[in-house]
Amino acid sequence: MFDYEFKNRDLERCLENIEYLNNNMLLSKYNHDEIIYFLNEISYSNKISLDETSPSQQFVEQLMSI
Amino acid sequence: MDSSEILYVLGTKAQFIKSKFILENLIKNNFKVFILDTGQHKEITSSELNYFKNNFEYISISDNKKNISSIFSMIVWFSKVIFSSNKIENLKEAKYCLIHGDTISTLIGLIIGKKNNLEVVHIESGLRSYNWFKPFPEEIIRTIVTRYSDILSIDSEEAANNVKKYQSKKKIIRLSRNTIYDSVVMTLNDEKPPENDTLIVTIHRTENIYNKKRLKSFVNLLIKLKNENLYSEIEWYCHDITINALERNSLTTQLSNNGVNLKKLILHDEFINKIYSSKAVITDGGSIAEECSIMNLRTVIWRDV
Repeated sequence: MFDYEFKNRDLERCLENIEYLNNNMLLSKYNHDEIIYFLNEISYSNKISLDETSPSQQFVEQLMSI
Repeated sequence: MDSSEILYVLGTKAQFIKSKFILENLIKNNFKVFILDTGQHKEITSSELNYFKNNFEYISISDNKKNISSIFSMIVWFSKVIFSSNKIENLKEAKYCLIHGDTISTLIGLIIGKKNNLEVVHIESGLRSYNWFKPFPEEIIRTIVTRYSDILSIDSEEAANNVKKYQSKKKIIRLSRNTIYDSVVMTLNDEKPPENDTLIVTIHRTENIYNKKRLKSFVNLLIKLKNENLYSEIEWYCHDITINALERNSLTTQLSNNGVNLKKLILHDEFINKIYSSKAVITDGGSIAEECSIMNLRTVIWRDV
């Protein structure tokens, strides 16, 4: 019924980093029917990757090297 | 780098949260950190500061005790802050002034940094929508702050493209992702709590709160969702600005009569663990949307852009 492919740039601007976009998110555009349909769908299980380098640490390291 | 003092200008809840682990890393590396609090979200940020156990110098530049939660109080507060001298006497060896994001506090930070002859480092730089009024006033603030900062810290390809024209004039710090990632992973409990049947809601943007028709539409949506029995609980965590708008439009009783629980904001750590165990989230906040995305939560963004 609805297309949740994130091809437009609108949703990208709602997030600070477009790499975070995933199929578990909906930019609603205030449409009730779409929201209810989306929330009725089965969601993916939560999964979080914990093996990333800390961006805060990267920031301080790079600032110190300037 | 030849200076061990840093001035960090913060004001909003999101700025404190996203800066938490930068501050921690600065302190670990023996920097003397001066946190200058603009007071924009005074009530919330004072509790977030407890995390650092006074390992920093705290400077407050406004005398408000409450959060800035209306357009009128915002104008009064901004005027007071901007027209005071803002000369920070204790700073002797500082070279850098760190500012974050695209809020009024970011703009204040830029002005204070320049008044104190510091090099301004803009964190979360390069975000643009190229529409002056969406989001407003953030898009205007982003443009000014990026233009006048000395060092830009970016965390995405899109931001890198947007600051390309400054590459020859300014230093660029490139991060692999937004610092909000640290705030999420560092604050989650070791074991994931069991998922419950709750919908968590948080709405506070001007275009959603001050637009009566849209606010009523949102209240109707929550009531519809409650009546569909998708969730055993709907918990709406309200900023002051939100609760004021709901009361002004006589919507609080309607919500409570239909089983929607209005709650006060809670500490960030607590909130992150709360949404991590929830079934879904509805928000209009960029930072919360991003936190939900990191946790791969079912999330509706109550915005059109």
